[in-house]
Amino acid sequence: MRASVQFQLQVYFPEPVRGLNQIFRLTPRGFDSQEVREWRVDVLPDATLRRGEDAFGNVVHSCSHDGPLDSLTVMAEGLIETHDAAGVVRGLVEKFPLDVFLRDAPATHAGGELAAFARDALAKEADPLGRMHILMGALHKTLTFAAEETEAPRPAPEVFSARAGSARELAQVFVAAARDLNVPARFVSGFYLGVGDVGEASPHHAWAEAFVDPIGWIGFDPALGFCPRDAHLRLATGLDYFGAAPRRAVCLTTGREDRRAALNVDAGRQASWQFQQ
Amino acid sequence: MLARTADNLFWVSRYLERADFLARLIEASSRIAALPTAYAGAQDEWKSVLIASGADETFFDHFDKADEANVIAFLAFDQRNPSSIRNCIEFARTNARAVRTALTVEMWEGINCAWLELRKFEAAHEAHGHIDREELIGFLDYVKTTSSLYDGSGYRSMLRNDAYYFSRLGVYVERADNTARVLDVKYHVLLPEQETVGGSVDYFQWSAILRSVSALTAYHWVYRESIKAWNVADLLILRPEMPRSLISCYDNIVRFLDAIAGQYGRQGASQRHARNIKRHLEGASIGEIFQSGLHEFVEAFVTENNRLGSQITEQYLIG
Amino acid sequence: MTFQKAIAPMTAPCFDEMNGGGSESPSEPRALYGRIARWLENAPRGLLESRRQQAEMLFRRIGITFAVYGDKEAAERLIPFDIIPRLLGHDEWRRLEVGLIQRVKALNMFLTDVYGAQEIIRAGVVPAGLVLRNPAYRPELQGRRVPHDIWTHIAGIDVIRVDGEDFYVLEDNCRTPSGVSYMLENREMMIRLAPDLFADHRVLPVENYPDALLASLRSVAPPHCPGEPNIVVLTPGQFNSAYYEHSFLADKLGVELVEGRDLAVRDDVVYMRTTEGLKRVDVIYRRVDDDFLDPLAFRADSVLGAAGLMGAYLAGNVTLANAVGAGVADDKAIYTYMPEIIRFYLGEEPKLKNVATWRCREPDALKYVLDHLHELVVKEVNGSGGYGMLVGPHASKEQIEAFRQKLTSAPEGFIAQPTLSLSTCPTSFPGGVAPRHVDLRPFVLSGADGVRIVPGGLTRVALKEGSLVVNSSQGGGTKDTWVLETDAATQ
Repeated sequence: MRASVQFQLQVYFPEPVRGLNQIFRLTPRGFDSQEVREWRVDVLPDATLRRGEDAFGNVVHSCSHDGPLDSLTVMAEGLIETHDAAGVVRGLVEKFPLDVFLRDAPATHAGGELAAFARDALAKEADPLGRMHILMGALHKTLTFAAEETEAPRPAPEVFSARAGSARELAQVFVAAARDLNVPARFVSGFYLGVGDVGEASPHHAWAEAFVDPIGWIGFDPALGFCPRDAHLRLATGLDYFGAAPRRAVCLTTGREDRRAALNVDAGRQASWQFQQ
Repeated sequence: MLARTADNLFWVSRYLERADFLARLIEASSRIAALPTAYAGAQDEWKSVLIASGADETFFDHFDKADEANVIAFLAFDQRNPSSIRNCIEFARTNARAVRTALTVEMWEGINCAWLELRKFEAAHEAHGHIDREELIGFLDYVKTTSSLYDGSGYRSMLRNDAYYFSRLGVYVERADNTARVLDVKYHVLLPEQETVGGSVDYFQWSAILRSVSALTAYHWVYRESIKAWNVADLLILRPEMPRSLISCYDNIVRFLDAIAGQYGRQGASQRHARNIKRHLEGASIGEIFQSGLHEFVEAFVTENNRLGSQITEQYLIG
Repeated sequence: MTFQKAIAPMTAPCFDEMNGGGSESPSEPRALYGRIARWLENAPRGLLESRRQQAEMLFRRIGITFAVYGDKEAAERLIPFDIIPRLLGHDEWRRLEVGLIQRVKALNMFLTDVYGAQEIIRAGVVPAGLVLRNPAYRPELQGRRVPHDIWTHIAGIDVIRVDGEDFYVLEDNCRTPSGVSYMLENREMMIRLAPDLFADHRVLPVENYPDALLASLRSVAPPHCPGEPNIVVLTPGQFNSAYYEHSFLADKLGVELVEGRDLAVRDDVVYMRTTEGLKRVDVIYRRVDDDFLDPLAFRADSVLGAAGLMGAYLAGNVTLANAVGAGVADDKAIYTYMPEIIRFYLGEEPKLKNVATWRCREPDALKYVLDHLHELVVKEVNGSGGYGMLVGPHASKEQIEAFRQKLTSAPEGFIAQPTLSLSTCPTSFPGGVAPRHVDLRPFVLSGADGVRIVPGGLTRVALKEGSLVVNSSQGGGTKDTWVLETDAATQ
């Protein structure tokens, strides 16, 4: 699909904050089934946005505000073209050997209940690709997808016990279960460009990718129950949510913040040609 | 220097000065409380001590009656009272520990030994559930010694730079506050109409006030006459040679703020505000003060002095 | 100083630093200890005890204390100091020194490689999973260079002896090794409490350690840092167990001791908040763990670090010592590969020995370990502080069987070592003098201009009879370490 995407996040601080430092992972990278024609990230009030790349190859913008600040706007927008590749992610520069994607971390540690569940679900399937599909299906069926997002995602075992979670929580559950089965897996954050399915609460979406030999990295969306198609705009990847979070912010004065995010997708638009100025 | 270091130095001084003041206040009040009612007056001495030490609100959360044992326990050893002597010493030591590198060995050892000593007194107090008068005198002496030791060793051993200036600043901002507090609690016995009543009651109250700011001897040297309310107020507010008078505190505050501004090559809000207060004190006479109301005067002063504290914090101690 | 020494109690008499041979045999003292032996013999009754008390009083007054986690009563405890020094001849020290230099060079090269080309993994010398799945490995650092390729600027290498010849490395500490303040304060204490004994020996000085540390830290300042770099020591705060050491070092270095809240990061540059506004910081000697350095990059709930610090670090605007991620080199599993690591990078034979180790991930090793459980020490690879450890000779049948099951089900999580007996050194007690087990932690400094080691280190002593646990948190004490001008055999 070809679309003009506009993302806007507005943050309000009931108590004005000082010394705010933020990082954003809001810039999609292109690969075989995702082309980024143009993209920009902007922040208000104005600040120097430094663009860098983290170890996983994500584009990271960072900025500092001295404050005091009572509100803030973050924008990410551009033109993209995506294709349905049945979830297969090809054409990315991979930065790490697969072992890294088997790392154990608190957020993505399966724990006994989830591990047993995954083993039971896959007992009859030997094909590596089939196994991941079954895992996705089983999680999708067992866990209720709640579009409402919690402040910080809970660790995988907790989400599994609750039998419900947000997209990013379900993605972490999938990653945890896959790693427990010794399948390299990673967390992906992005936007869902389709309508209705992910609800109005948050334009952010998240899913997982597992490495299936010999095909390579394949996306699995346990929240929606299918592999990413052309409506999944892939923004960043990491070992868990924290490594791929679209925004992280810390300020000197500990302040509450109210957020309002909106995503505007204008599908089918032709990218305009650029001309010499 | 680090803003936090300056903050810690400033507050070590403030807490020790406060502990010293509380010790003197308890001492002076014990004397009055021990007098026959005919001499001490009918007013509730221990309650006014609570008010002077700013502990009157929290005290009644924990006790029903403001008697000697309760008040002393609360002011001296109670952890629940944020300004108890033991908390002051503990906070001072915590602050000192955070800036060990900015203190000279003598200062640190002085305060650290005091803290170790405090634990002994505390243990004794806990063991008996109370502290007898003899022990109390020993404890109060120890508190006074601690603050003198810190003060003195700082004076003797610190480099004369911003660290020293902030440390001194803490002493004088706190001292001005403490002197003003005593004046505020006791202002009614200093009022002229009370003086006309005369009699022994007020006499002992006045001497107690002087004692609480260790100015009893000084009074006689300055005025060479028996204690009079008018003079007591004059001594504590306007006499520059009296080291605990408000004006003397402000002489020093202005001096050390200027030294800081000099070192950094930059004046600021706290310098200007301190100079204003000082000018105001210099221009005042005790007659005018009584005329327009001692209580109002002291209240205004406490507000302005607190404002200076906030300005110093804003300008230097947050960074 | 939290890793438990997992060497089982000796079964045979062990090497004594003073008497040589076995501590049971009343042989002549080694020449090295001649004067100490005479001093102990001639000391009037009660002298050692009174010196011990004096030392304790002085330590408490200066405030050299450490906090024990979870121990409210003794929130500020002293580490017992023993007045009898531990001696090393100059020749012994030289042997140790070259070994330490070699080892730390290899550790730094290993870290450079692991976060760079990963040749050692590709060559199959160290298994990929062991590095890449290691909790101390930081993927965030992959592909990054640090100034002068130095990752562990301050390393504490724990060594032990079992005879008069060899030094064994028990553990490498590449993150934030502590204890150096005790090395320096113990020396001051000895000069004060045993001036004659000290003057009789020609002891190589350690007091230049702060200067050496400062020189090392200055040498690794960011390349574009103009003029004199602004160096700070970053502490978690005064409730950290090693706070005294942090303030001590800042003081001796003549630099600011900062906490996370004293730092501010603006546009990838680190500043400290001063009474005159923000001041740029170039080098941070940090005593805060990786996890807590930056809530934007690592643990979001950390208040000990500074938000944005990692950004500034990766942008090359500030140097952290030790580097983020250096811990992967001192891991127990990596330790077992140190001899191979040294050979791989330096093409040399290791000069310091490793304690022989069976990696249970290897089937042959596992079989051997299972057959010899009653005589081995089995440790969990990622465990610390003595958790998940089996000391074969001391274990009950049930414990051994429980471990056998653990090992069979997840062998890759375990290593096993033989029971070594640490050397002993005479130690004073209220009742007299008795031999107690000791180890030694020398501090190795790496800068752009080479490696610096002050002659000596922290000797830790297990105060309980027969105990091999020298950790301060477990009742261990310390001694001053004297490296003499003369060789061990010289009278």
